[in-house]
Amino acid sequence: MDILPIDIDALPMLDTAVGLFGSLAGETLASGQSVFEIAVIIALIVHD
Amino acid sequence: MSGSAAACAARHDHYPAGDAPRRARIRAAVADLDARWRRADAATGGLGAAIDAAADDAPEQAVARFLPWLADLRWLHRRLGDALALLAADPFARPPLRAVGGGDGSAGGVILAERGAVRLTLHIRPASAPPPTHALFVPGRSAIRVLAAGGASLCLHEVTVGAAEEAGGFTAARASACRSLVPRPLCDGEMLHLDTARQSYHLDGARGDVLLLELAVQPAARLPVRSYDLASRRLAGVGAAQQGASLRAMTLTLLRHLGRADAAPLFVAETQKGDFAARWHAMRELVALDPAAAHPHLAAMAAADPHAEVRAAAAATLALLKSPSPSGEGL
Repeated sequence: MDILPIDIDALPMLDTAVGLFGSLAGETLASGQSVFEIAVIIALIVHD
Repeated sequence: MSGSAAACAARHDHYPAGDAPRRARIRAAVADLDARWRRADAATGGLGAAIDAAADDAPEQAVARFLPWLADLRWLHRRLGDALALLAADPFARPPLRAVGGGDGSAGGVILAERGAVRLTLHIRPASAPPPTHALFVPGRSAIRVLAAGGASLCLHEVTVGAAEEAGGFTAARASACRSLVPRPLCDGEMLHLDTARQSYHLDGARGDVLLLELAVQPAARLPVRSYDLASRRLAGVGAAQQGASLRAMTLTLLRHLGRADAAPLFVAETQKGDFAARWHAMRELVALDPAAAHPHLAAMAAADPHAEVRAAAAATLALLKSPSPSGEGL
């Protein structure tokens, strides 16, 4: 029994669209300010 | 030229790019400190050894195991002292700590230890950091020691999560709205304990920089990570809480792009795993790759998958496969 190929864009997605692991973690885990700057700021606070 | 632009330029101008011996000394000093910290972590009573011992603990048990590291901070002072000594010896040395966040004056920090589901992070939130727009709920537990409260108010947010949602039945349509508690002053030295699947927070109105030491234990979970819009309190986004399933999903997409129909058994195996989104992703990819191979598994999924949205998507796809093509071909 043959079934015709079907384009993936024609197939349904879930109503609850789930992003990839880490896709929502930008606010907390994105790389940004250098460790040099952060280390200096933390040191200033702790030793203040 | 503005002051900040001048400072930026000056820092790059002074980097000893042409001084190979000095750069070698910096690398050696950083490597030496990294090795010293690793040895201390791996030793009996060390942080790494404790993380390894907690590998099979439930999140709340693991958090309890690490409370001494949050209560007695002499180890942290020693570690920061080591980092400061490294910087004092050469300001272009970078302590072997991974930085997170902190771009554009927002909250950031350094990861002090991370292995498996356990992460110990020193967070800094500058007084000038912009307020967050979203609250993130991540399955697991955390304990947070407030090292410097900065005069900030603590705004706690809560969502309800049912047992069925935790077991893999989460749907966006039935997700609880987010409730916010009355803000209260954050206190120096206090300890916060959060069930991070259900509780999140943000800080508001800080007059000074805020410094937090956070231990988070957030293992892979069937309940997704959820992001809520703080203005509307409504669910704004959902992300996988299982790194392995997420990576395998990307790999299946790659195999489908490569036309690897011989890998169909791998797709079928993934359609029977615990993560509902990963199950449907695998089936969708398999149908596009090899609809004939997918058909019996698709029928089984439409009849018996434990997640209602997956059953509905499978049934709709079955109907699509059975519908005659314009030329009269098809199933």
